[in-house]
Amino acid sequence: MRILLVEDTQEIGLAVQKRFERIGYAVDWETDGRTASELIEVQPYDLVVLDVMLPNMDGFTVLKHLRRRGLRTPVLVLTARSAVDDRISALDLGADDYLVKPFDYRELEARARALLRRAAGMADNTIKAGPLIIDRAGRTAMIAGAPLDLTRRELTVLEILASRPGAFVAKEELLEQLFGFDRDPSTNAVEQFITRLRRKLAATSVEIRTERGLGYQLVAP
Amino acid sequence: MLAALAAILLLGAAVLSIAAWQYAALAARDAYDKLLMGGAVQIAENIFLQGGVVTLDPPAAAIATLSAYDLVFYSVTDPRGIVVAGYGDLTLSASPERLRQGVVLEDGRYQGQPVRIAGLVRKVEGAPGDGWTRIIVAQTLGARAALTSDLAFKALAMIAVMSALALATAALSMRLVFSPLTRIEREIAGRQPDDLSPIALTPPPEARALVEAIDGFMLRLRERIALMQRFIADAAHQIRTPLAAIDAQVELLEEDDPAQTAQLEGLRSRIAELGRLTSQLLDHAMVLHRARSQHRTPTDLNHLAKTVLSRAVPLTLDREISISFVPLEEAPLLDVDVISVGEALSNLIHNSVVHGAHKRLSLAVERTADGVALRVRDDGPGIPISDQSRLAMPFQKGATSTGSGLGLAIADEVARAHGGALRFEGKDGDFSVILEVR
Repeated sequence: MRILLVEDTQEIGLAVQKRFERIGYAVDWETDGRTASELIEVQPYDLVVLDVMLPNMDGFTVLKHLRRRGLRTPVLVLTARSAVDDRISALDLGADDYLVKPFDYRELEARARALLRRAAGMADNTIKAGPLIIDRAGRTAMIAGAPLDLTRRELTVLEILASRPGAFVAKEELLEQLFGFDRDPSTNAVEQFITRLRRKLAATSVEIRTERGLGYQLVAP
Repeated sequence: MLAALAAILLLGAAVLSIAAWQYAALAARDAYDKLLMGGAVQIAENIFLQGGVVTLDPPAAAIATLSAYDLVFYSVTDPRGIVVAGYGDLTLSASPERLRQGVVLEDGRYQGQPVRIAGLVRKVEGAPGDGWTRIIVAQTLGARAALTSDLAFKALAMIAVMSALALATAALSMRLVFSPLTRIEREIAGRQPDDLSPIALTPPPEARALVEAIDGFMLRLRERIALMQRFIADAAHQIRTPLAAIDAQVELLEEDDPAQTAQLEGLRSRIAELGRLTSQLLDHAMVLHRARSQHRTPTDLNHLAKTVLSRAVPLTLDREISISFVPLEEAPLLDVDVISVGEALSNLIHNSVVHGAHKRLSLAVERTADGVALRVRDDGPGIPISDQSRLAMPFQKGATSTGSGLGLAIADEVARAHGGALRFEGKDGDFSVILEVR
């Protein structure tokens, strides 16, 4: 995974870079808006993490240029300004998500993972597997038209499984997606989520199967 | 004002009444005095000398006139002091010299009754002595009193009518004078506390200067408040930048020492709290401003609610809370300010995540009689009824809260700015906070 980080505050840039590199992403860090904008044109990225207040060209303009060129790279905007001032304009301009500074770095990591998963799948923000429909942007799931009550992590597990229907997903991958590197949870935690998900899916035709050594598999008619 | 006028009128009426009574008494006395004098003169004219003795032939008509309503007494005394007719004990105090100058009138008492007495002397030629014969006529006061009362009561009735008219006129003119003020008062009293717009009345010429002064004052106040809000917003924003840098420094610290992990975690959560406080200060300052200016756009509240829910619950929430979203079947379109409603809802969801929900949190979009309700429901302890109204005030917070105490205040203001309200429902274990907008 290659990530472009555009952030002119040294500490924040460093902290974000460190966090992403620790989970194995390659991070290009730019501090200048215009340079970043030029870089996006020549180098494909899986994710752009973009500050709003930048020298030479502000984040919104960078975003506008990027979208005008038809690039669908997911963009996560970091802003120190208020909601009321500019969150909406960030989303209007085609940002996929935003965080207001100061933000939780674990949350940044989780949001980045979610955006990368989304980009890896279809461009559409919904995943369909039989009667199961997951709205990734809205973070809600429905089954046969009825809303499913899921916790955030249950939804993440279901989302990963449903985006690759029929394929096996290793327990370790789920673990990493769920907790990042911050915690040191045992693989038992994943089993607990799978058990709870199975209970919530019991009355439906969607099934989660386990194959020893391979991981989990979502089967939908 | 009217009471003061009424008091003045009452005092005036009392003085006038006393005066009227006195004038009436005077008029009645004058009228009856003339009759009495006439009677006395007639009696005097009916005195003649018969065989050297002064004799009276009582003038029946004159006495009848005087005694129509009263008792009449008279006496005729010859020059020697012998009473030749009438009551011998009827006297008067005036001296003979005084009597010779003309008819004397005086008040007195006779047979235990107050009487008016007329006295005169007449020279009867050939009478014994110097010839001066004294005539006294006394009349009780019944007719005078009757006339006095009659005159006085008529005058009093007129005074009363005039006073009432004067009071009514005063009341009417006061109402006319103050009616523009009353309308202005009603306009101002009926306002939202944050409404500082100019008075929406075309003032009559008399009140124009006043309305302009009030409008001018409100304009200055509004500018002042806007400046303060801008200042709060700027200050909050300025705090955020170094705060984010501190947060980054914490993130960069190596967590090698497990003993420090807990402390770092504490530091992180304090920074997050402070960050949230700055956001809310900023939002609180800006939301009102936005609500006043025309930021409303037709919005699908299902979509807005879902978007806010997806962002307001952190992906890294440590507690496992089931989140559900219940949209309205038919997308509810409403003219709202997307930003402020979104922030309000986000605050409610944050409250529920932090203080409320144990295992469940749901957001439902519901239709109300004339708008839409966004219901944040959880299985937490809820807010005690005694705290509900207090917590909607800025900087008031629940007993266990570590937040800024602005979340519910923002939601409440946004709801009111949208013609709705913030309501609470349910009890411990199933509690809803409902944001109504119209």
